[in-house]
Parts: sequence; C-alpha cells; structure tokens
Amino acid sequence: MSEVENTFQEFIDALHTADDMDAFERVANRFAEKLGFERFAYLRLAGETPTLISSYPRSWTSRYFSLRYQELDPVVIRARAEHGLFSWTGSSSAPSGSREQRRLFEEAGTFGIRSGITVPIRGGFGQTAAFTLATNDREIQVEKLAAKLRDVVQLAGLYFHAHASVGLRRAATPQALAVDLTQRERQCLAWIAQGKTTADIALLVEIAPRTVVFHLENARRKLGAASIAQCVAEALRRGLLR
Amino acid sequence: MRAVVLHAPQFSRNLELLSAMYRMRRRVFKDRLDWSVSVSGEFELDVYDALGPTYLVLVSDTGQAIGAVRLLPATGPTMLADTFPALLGGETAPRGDNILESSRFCVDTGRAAEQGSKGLNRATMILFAAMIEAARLAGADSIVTVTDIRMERILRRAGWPLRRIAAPQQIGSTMAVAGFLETSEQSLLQIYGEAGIAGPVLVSADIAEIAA
Repeated sequence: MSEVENTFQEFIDALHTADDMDAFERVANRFAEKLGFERFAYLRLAGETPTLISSYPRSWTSRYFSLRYQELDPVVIRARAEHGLFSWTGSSSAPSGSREQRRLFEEAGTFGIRSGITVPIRGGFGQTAAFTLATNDREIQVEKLAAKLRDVVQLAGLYFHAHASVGLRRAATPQALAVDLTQRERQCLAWIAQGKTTADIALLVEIAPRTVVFHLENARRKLGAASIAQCVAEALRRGLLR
Repeated sequence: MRAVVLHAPQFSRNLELLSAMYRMRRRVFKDRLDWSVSVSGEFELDVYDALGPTYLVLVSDTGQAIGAVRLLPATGPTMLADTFPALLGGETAPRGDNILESSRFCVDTGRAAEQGSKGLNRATMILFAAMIEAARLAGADSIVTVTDIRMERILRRAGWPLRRIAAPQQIGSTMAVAGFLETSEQSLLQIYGEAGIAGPVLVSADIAEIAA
C-alpha cells in the first residue's frame, strides 16, 4: 500500500471511532499533516447558520464569524458555486476580488493560512459544505497534485462530511457538551450571528431589548466567553446554533 | 463479469474500484435520478457509507465498474429505520444479525446492456446472485431493502419476489416500497438460472487485486 493509501485508510478508520468535535478535529488534522498541510477546516452552511470544525487558530475563526467573513470569503463563494476540488491562494499575485476580500486574505495570512485546496460538497436539501486543507505556503496548484491524491482528498472530504453530519447530531446532546443553552439564548445568539442588533432582536423575538441582553449575557457566561462575539463563535463551533 | 466484495478494511487498497463505484453512483443517483444526495465533484457518498459497509461491485471483463450495491447489517442504523420509517407502515424496523440491508443498488445499463431470458438485464441478475451469495456468507437469512415498484417488478419477474412490509408510498418522484428478500439456496439457484450461469459470482477484493 502506498503512503497516500495508508493515510486514507487510517483517516476513515479513525473517523469511524471519533465521537465528538475534538476527535473529528484531531483525525482530520492528522490527515492534513500527513499530506503536508498544516491546517484543515470543515465549514458547513445549512440555511444561514454555519458549523465549523477546524484546526485554524481560534482567534482567527472567532474574528472570521463575528465579521461574517463566510459571506465574503472567495473560497466559500467558490465552494458554493463549483463542484470539483480546487486550489486557492491569497498571495498578492491574485489581485482580483474586492478590497475587503484582499484584506481577508491578508489577515488569514497572518494566521498562517495562505493557500490550500478545497473540496466543495453539495449535501442534500440545499446544504453546502467545504473541506479545506491549508498551508502557509504561498502557492499551491491543484493541477500538480497526482490524480490519486486528488481522489483521496475529495473522498476524504465526503467521508468527513458524512461522519460530521451523524456525529454532530450525536454530540449535540447537553451532557456531551456540558452546556445547556435555553431556547431563548440560542435564538438571540443565532440572530447575533446573522448580524442583528439587540434592538433588531427585540423586535424579531418580541421581547424587551434588556431581556435580549440578559439572554446573551447568560449564554456568554455559560460558554465561558469573554465577549458576545467569542460566545457566538464558540456556540457555532459546538454546533449549538441549529 | 464478476462481483467483487469490498469490506471496509480493504477500501484504500482498492481505491480505484472504490472511486469508480462512487463515480457510478453519482451518475446514476444524482445525474440520472436526481435524488437529494451528497455529492462532491464526480462522487456520491452518504452517511451510511460512513458506517463501514460492505460493497459488491460488478466489474466487466474489461475491468470497468458497471454495477454496485451496499450492504449493512441490520444491527446498526439502517435506511429503513432511520431515513424512511414511513415505509414501515407502523411495523417495527427489522433488526438482527441475521438480516442485511441493501441500498444504492445500481447497474449502469448503458455499459451493461446484455439481456438474458425474459428480457431481464444480465448484469442485474448477476448482482442479485452476488447479493444472495454475500448474505449467505455473512450468515444472513434475509435481506431487507427500500426500493421502488419498478425494481419490485423486476424482482418478481426474476423469480426473487420482494415480501412487502407495508404498502408502497410516494417519496419524491418515486413509489417507494420496503420489503424482505429471501437468501435461500433455492432463490440463489433461481437467479443463477436467470443469469445463465452455473455457480458463484463473488470474488474477494484481495483475490481480484492479485488477478488484475
């Protein structure tokens, strides 16, 4: 068996026994590293609420979601539109994109995310997901990857997606997460994640603005977050906002 | 034509065959039937593929994958119990290590057009025979499956009738029905007869690899 085949078998075997977010993260990270990538990220977009499992720095992912970068990120936009595996680079050799998009890539670069390959996944019922292997290298060209490696990465993305859809449902029980948000807390956080202000939420949920603040504060405390933004990122990471 | 058995620990050693099967499934289930399934690039793969199933892949004499079916023990999650419980019509879902569930049955009839007696597709008959052989090897005395009434008709004509669990129901654009298939020796001989063959069609992936 070749190295790539070994890595793939180990990946699907290990996924089989992974039963929480941290285990999924470890398994995918090992897979990425064995193929020569420093980081991986799996982002699922179902409706308007994203779910993320990744080995990206937390400081980057919480910034990413609080600034709603998933709506701006050229990689996510491509993953929504394309079907096959693609490579991307955020280096200055790519002058295309808006100023905000270039800034997003610059910021990602400071976290060691400069290029990568992404597997777009079209789930049933309008769900989209993207499985990304990322590196600090400035250039990566998918055409240069061996056909077998491309197949392995693409299948790995699909396997990860399949396991994550089952596993996250299983993990999303209060005792597994040791956090039990109330329906109101989840509701307020979900609106925050979608860019609404306290005043907006008060209207949407038909409660007083200070009650919105009360629920948000409770959620922040329960998740041990320093700010509401971090609280949103943490809730997303744990798959609480669905 | 032969049917290669692929168990989960053999997947990476048979990556090309595995990839060919997922490609064929995308062509059949997404492109042709337009089911609401997860796809990426040329592949189709769902949550039940993540449970370590066994695949039977039909391989032509020229080495092309021309048919496939997925088998899972009815001891864990099954499509009937967990995805299509409406097809149980109130009955409890079949459970037990003497039952296998088959799903994602497909034959690429464009690449395998040969017909046997009664105008039944020969590759389909060989894949049926492979299912019975695999079930018998696994010690299963029946196969439970979710299928449609078109396939139910083919099964009846092949002399391997589906024993319905409940009445068919409209699911999306298909009339879906759940039922049991016998894995008796008599069923096997019946299908061998329809396929025009005398004996076993199943080959282990490890042996197929050596022979290739």
